[in-house]
Amino acid sequence: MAPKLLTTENLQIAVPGTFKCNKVIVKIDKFASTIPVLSSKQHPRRMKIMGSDGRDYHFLLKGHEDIRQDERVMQLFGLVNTLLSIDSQTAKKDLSIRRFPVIPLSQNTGLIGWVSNCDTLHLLIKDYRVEAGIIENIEFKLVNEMCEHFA
Amino acid sequence: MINKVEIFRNALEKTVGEDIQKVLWVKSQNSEIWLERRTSYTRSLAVMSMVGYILGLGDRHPSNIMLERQTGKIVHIDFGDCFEIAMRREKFPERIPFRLTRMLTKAMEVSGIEGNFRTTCENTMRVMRDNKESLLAIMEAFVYDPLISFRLLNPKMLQQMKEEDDKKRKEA
Repeated sequence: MAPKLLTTENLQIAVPGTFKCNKVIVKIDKFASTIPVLSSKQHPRRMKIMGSDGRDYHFLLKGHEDIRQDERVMQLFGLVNTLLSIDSQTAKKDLSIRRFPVIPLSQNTGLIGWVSNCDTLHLLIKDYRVEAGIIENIEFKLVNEMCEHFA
Repeated sequence: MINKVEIFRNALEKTVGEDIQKVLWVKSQNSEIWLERRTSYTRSLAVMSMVGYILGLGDRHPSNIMLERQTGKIVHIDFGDCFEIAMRREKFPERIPFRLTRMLTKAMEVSGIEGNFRTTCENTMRVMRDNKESLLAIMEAFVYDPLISFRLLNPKMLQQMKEEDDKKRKEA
């Protein structure tokens, strides 16, 4: 980790994605000293920022990807959420789409707010199959038995 | 000669595809919570299916769809493929408006898509249609962003534009 970033403390900048007008600003207290590298394709980093409210904020630091489009999509979801909360038919049910902060830093880097308390369907299915004694990629194996180059 | 559909059907016949249904059940403390989670799973899946369709969202593989632990809500991540890019790519173009596989349908109530899923889809679609002006205003911002619209063009067109650009530069 950059030594300069390690020594910076008590910043005036708000924690990315937390700023809300007329609310107490959660400022960056400091950065966590270790940043684990994740094993997925682009090797994103999991970054932790300590906020002035005493809470930890986790982010995914992504490279080699333009995430401005993701930011726009979040704006679209914001509008859809508002519309769904206004309409009399849909307002009664909680139909809001879960959003998360997307902060583009440059054309090919950006921060994405960690989506907490969630598991990917891939992981859930994998864990379930291990537990239930089902072959993990059974569908793939069945297809390959009949034809080697299906796709 | 066996065809692709037969091979696919064979794989379907020999498997049940009840994994997500079981996950929802196993990870609920009691049946009341399970019922709630199943409903919110179905509804959130419906909303995202409709919004995703309007957005032309692709690349919906199981690592891009998440399940919220407590509520059972569906959460999508990675919105790199919008405006039907995945439908027009050269290798394995996607042919579907949204993901609705057997595994997803089986995790819904006994009536499958005929119930909470359909009602929520219809309501979401109606709300979006009623407010199409506001939605289009946001969508237009996507299209006018030059760096994003470049991704919508195919590589051949990009090459062509590059050559024209080079020509102009030389002339200048």
